Amino acid sequence: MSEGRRRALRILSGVLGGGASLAVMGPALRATWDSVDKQTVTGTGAFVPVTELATLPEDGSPVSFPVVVEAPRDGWNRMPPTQVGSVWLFLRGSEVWALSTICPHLGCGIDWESGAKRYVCPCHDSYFDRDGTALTGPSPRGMDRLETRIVGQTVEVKFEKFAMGTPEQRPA
Amino acid sequence: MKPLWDLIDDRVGHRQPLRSLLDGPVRGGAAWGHALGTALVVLFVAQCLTGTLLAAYYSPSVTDAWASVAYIELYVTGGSFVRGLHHFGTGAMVVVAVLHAAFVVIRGAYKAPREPNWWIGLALVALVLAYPLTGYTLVWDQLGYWASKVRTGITGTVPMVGPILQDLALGGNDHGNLTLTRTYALHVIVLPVLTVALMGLHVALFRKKGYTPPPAPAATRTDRYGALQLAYDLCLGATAVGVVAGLAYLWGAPLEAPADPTANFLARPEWYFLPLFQLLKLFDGPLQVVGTVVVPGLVATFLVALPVLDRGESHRVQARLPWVLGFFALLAGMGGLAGLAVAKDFADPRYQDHLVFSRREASRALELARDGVPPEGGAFMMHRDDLVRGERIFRNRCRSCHALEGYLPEEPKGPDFTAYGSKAWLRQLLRDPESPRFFGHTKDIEGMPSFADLPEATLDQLTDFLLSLKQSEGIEVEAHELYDEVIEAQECEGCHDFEEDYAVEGPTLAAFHSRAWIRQMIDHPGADHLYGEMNEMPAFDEKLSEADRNALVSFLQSLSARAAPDVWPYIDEPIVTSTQAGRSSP
Repeated sequence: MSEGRRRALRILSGVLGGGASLAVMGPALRATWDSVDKQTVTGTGAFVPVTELATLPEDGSPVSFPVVVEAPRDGWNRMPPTQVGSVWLFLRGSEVWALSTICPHLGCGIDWESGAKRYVCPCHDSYFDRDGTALTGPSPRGMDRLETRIVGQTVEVKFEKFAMGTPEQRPA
Repeated sequence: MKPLWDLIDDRVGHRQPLRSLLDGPVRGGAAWGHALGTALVVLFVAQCLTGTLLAAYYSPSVTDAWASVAYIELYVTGGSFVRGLHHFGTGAMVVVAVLHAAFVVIRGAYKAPREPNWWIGLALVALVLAYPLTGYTLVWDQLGYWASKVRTGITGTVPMVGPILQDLALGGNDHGNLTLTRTYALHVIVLPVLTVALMGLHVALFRKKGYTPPPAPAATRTDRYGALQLAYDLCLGATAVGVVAGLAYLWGAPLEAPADPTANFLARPEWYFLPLFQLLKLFDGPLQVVGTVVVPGLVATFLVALPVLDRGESHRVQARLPWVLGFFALLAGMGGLAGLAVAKDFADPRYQDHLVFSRREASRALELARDGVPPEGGAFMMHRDDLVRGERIFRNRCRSCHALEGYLPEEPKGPDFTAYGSKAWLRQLLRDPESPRFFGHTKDIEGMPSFADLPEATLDQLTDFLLSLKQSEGIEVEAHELYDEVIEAQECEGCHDFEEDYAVEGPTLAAFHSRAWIRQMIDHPGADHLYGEMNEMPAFDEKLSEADRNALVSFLQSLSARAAPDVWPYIDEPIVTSTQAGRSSP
């Protein structure tokens, strides 16, 4: 075999090898990137009935209620009615307030201390007053307030999740 | 840059092994046949890559496995292509492995001192075949599920150890979650680890003994590996991957309907297992073990013993003719068995009928999965769909008397349901009611005149009118424009009532072909306002549940839209009345 043909073959092998690598790696990288910015889990962003107005304590102390969403998607599943999270609800004068139970620091679940009348995130000891304002601890902002509306006697909450660890509130 | 490479070489020492690789001798000169092994390594690396991606989306549980694969197909960008790469990559590995072995046989490369590497190679071939065996089960579609049933069933019949092996394969007594989790562990951990280990050993031993040259005198020439063989290796590896990518792009990987223990499936193995499948069919009954264990065992023994049997000094093919011919006769035999299996299926109307049905179920399943699969799983999703459920009932309970889309019952007793309720169907019914397509097979339903003599435009209006009845409860038939010309003139009302459920000679046409009308026909075809005394069909009101009968109605109503004209060639064919064809007795 002449040196010229050998060289041609070596170039061909490089071209073919590169082409084959691209043919596999291209779609593979595309499929890997697929999950970026994709709504694979749904169930947030819409008003959901949570409880009856009469169930909220007159004294304004908060009570947590589960948020049940009708048919959320999770990857390949369409779920039956599913608890996607919970909210703290309380009467603030004549208004109904809703606070997310998700700590804005790193996402742990926030508890209410009825004796001290304040919220605490047990993971990293962030404290908040009843209205959700940050008192002490590492949380960069107060608890996330959620929109509410009253339909008849039913309290509905617009259940949303927000980015964690930022001073300002941003959608997750 | 140079000093940097020097620094790295000081610490890693990559130059010397690289140099010895590139300068390594290729005795007898570079050859395409020598590149087959490298192509296998390249294909294996690609399989690892695509497999890792699929694993990132896959969920090994009975309720989620099919759904997660459907998600890859439907919702992951590039997912369908990656699945296709993985699917055809397996087939490509089988092809290249066989070619690799064939080249080794031709060169006599299994002979001393390379016998151990031949045996390791055989073990690697077994591993290559173990991937699809486990991989197909993981998809948990009808194909993977029923194929696995057959396979574990065969395992169970092996004397002595069979039942134990079966329990180990299934992770217990039956197919379920535990089957999937352990099959997954096998497919993505155990098999790859074994493959890498054996492949490493295979390559290391090969490097030690070098390429097997062709018999003298051609063996005198020696090449540097880097001069040409490397280019051959790269070209062939890349071409193999390119072919796989092309097939993946053209066809993608198949996905049948979700695994369903209640819905049978004519599972056929992948093409490379067809020889075994055909063997299984040739030896049935008590001889089954011959096809499943004895013959494959003999073949394996022959392959393992090859280096021991063929011990002569010469590497020349002519000197080793019996062994070389034996090997290729084996391949030809396998090809012949596979061909036989394909030919049998091709000529088998039952298989073809099943193929059409399973394709329809597969596409319906993907359609349903687009909206999300319930957590109860894919089979549940299919069961609650009226079209799927209705068709399954029709196939089980109605097809013994009614033909459908090319499937003919042995003793047809009622009308053919192909294109039922479509305009073409009704037009043909009006033209030729006594054809075997309609009432030719019913003994007592007769007397409906043919409307073939009506002008085409009038026939067209009449079919439109009749098909419009399903929207209305009962109509003032006298007010219709065709009343004087057709309905009155042909005495339709002598046999059919249009307004309420009066008992006349023939079935009522009030709300003809509506859901309620079809339901009545299923429930009580012999009711006075339907076929009355002429009826021969059983009443199904107590034979099928309410939900089943409703599903059947949905299915029957879907038939008008689904059949393409080439599926029902008899529509608009010349009139054939029962006296000319169809009925055997007068």
